[in-house]
Amino acid sequence: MIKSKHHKLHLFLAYACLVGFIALTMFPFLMIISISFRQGNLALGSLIPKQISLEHWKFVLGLPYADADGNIVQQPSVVLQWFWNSIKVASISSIMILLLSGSGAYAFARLRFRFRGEMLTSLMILQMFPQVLSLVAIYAILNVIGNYIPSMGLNTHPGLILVYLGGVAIYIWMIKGYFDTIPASIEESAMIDGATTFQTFIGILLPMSLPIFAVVFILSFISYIGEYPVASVCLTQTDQWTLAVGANSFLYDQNYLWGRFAATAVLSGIPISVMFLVCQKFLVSGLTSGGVKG
Amino acid sequence: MGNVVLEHVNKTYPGGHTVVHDVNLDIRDKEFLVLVGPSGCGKSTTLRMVAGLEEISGGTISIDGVVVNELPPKDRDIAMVFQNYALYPHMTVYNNMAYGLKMRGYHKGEIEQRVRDAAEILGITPYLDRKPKALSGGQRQRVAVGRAIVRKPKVFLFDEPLSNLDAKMRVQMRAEISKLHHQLQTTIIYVTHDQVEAMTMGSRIVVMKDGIIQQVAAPLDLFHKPTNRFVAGFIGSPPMNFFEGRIERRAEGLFFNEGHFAVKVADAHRAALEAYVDKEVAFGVRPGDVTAAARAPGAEAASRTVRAKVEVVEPMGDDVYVYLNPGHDMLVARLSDADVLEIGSDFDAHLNMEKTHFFDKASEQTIV
Repeated sequence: MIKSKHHKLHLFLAYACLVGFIALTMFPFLMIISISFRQGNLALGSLIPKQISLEHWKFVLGLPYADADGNIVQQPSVVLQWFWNSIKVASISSIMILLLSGSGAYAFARLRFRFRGEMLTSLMILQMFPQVLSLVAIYAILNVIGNYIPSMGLNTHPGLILVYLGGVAIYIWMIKGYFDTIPASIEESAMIDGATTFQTFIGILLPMSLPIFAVVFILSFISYIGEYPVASVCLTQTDQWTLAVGANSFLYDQNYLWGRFAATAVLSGIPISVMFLVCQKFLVSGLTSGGVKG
Repeated sequence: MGNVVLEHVNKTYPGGHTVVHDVNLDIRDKEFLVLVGPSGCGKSTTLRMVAGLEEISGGTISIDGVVVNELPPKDRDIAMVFQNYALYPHMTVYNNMAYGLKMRGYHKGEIEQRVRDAAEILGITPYLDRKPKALSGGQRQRVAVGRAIVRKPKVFLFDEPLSNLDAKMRVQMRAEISKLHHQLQTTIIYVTHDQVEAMTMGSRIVVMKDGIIQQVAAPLDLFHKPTNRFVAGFIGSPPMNFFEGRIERRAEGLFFNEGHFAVKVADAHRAALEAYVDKEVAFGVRPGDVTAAARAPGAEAASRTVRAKVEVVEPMGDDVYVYLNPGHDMLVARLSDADVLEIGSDFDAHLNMEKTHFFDKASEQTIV
């Protein structure tokens, strides 16, 4: 390709913009890491701490540390408990979201039934109201459920997961959009080959749809790891909290424990990163190419 | 056996749009039946109803005497080849072909045997371990055909299988499918919009338009004895020339008068056209039945000649397609000689009146 005279200048500008953008996104993250290694609970200060202190991390990980008075403190880490709670809730919710939205999207994309369009639209409209708006209702509903099934009521993880599954509509739309791009003739072919609807879904459609399932899983996982308002209302006991709720508890009105907050926040990034790396290998394009005339 | 019978089959979509009207067909065992028509004529829908991919709104479809209206596709013992191949992109060619056998619980050895045999017939053995992505269009369509033949079904259904291939590959696959039909001796129902495919492959052809069967006949019967103007115009390439005009009685006999020219009706057609004297009719003549006047012998030659201006000349090799303008509507002639024709010059075209067709102007049905 023939390049214009200004090519180098354009390249330089493009790089400058990219570096600026990366710096903008990286700075808050580095700041949080910095705070988590800073002595005391100061939010302000230089990016590289003058003195590196591991007290917040030791607290978070349940290791013995010296407190402000010099006493050695050792206690089981409540943060690790929250960490585990978060992973549990987010994983189970995301898996169930996949099952529900995948099968729901299949129905909307492939089956013909009455009020199909209306149901899709109402899903979309309901999704426009943030879940936070219905906090009171969620609280009341969980309270009632708890009267009959105590393991799914307030202050239980199954209860919280139940509420989270209400966010399935947006994922149904996403997956349906992907299914719509896959020609129906491939599945019709499988039907003629002798597969049942279920076998077609599992054996033909699913393998072609891995990328969208990976995306849905990551998105829902990220959102549930970091979700605060609903979890804070549904979970009242300290040992049931998720990381997001727990981290917030370090910020008392009179005493902002920024260091602990920061260490907890960094910790919550770990499962997300791991999940992303795992799912990344499914995020490949061209899974459907070759099946039909392009 | 693979005898398929359609009786009063209808297809109406929710909302009252009817795409297939009262289709009656008796497809004999081992027959190669072609459904042909312009897009939207209901031919694909008819095929999909036989396959079980579309529900039947009315009538019955039976395969070997068993009514299959309510049977799902997998229980009808049919195989289908789709226009866009519809291969399973995540499986190898081998697994694509083996899938239907696996679903039906065949033994591994039997599956292997059948897949290898089919691959051998179609010449795709070297590609068995490849994914469809790594194949060319023609090879993919072969895999799709292979997937159908390994199952040894009663009936093969082809839904425009060659439309996605380039012209050369299409001609080659056309011959291969014909050959395959002879080898396998299985009933084939084949849908296409291409009348050349229909003429060259079918043992019988069904011409459809607007969801209604226009004519069912062997290829040459269709060509020589079309039942109406639509069939006459649809079959044959280049298509039949049509002119509208009146039948007149003159001293020499009956004449068709277009306004710009008049030609004498052949003796064989006279009786049928007596009833249409002084009435409007449509007149049809195939490009192959037009010759240069100088070569036509006989005394009546003048009464069969049309003088026209040469507008376009298309040399095709052996043939030359000449677009003539006798006044209003075009007259296309397929001339086999290498006459050099000046564009804009006058040309005397001789019509082979014995082979012309007349249609009722209102009903468009063939008069003779």
